[in-house]
Amino acid sequence: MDTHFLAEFVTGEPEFRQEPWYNEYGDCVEYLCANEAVVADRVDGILTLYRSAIDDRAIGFQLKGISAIMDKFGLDKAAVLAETRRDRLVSVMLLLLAALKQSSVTGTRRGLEMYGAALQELECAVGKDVESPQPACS
Amino acid sequence: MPATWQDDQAHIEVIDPRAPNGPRAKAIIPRSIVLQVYKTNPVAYENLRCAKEVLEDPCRIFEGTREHQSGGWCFVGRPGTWHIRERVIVPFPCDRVFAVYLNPRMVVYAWRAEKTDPDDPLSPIGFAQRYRRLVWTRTFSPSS
Repeated sequence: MDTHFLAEFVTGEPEFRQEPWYNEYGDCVEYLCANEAVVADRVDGILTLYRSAIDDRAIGFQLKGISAIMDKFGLDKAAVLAETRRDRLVSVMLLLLAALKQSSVTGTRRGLEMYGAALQELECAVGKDVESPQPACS
Repeated sequence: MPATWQDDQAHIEVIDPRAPNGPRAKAIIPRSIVLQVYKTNPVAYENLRCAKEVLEDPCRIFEGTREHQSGGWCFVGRPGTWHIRERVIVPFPCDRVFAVYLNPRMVVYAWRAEKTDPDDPLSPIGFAQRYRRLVWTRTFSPSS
């Protein structure tokens, strides 16, 4: 394969991490739970669901207009960009619920299903983050 | 055409969506975005190759990608191949287009496949409702 045209920009090995991140250039939050190519499935002006290019299952989403959502609902940007992973997921869940509240597709079955799919992706990630209880020391 | 680098940005020469018949403009890929996808989403990093291909040879360019924001562009095209998993390269499907999104400052912030529209198989589905206007279209197709 040809050398990537941006290879000079990166060092080390690439890695996949299942965590949401705020994209300041697009004012959007991106979240992906599988290291696969995506096909966008636009729900409305706020949410785009990412479907796997391999089998069409929902594997993430893009949430747009984050600044406007935060302003409208008085959400704390610092909370969304919190350091700990679980806090991040919970904050993004809050953003998703806020987005759903102002979405134009709330009244449609498809709209609710798509927002539901996005929330479900996050719920799975939160579940995976919960550590198993450690055995008590004897 | 190779990308050029300046101040932690890669520059790609593109049709200027503000003046398609004028001199070419520079699309910007910030190093921070490249690093972000390299360290969280390697397939998206690999598919920046497709983004470059589409930026340099688009089929359509749309203006107005956000409802409450002026500017912003979407370059649409069909790369030859793409990564669907790490180290898995396949021909780009004929029932999809590859869309590259630029903010009003010409910064690339998203790139992905989209379903095609039944009225124009070289545009993303719902293009008439999603974008403010079509600013440029390729007037011929390369011979296949």
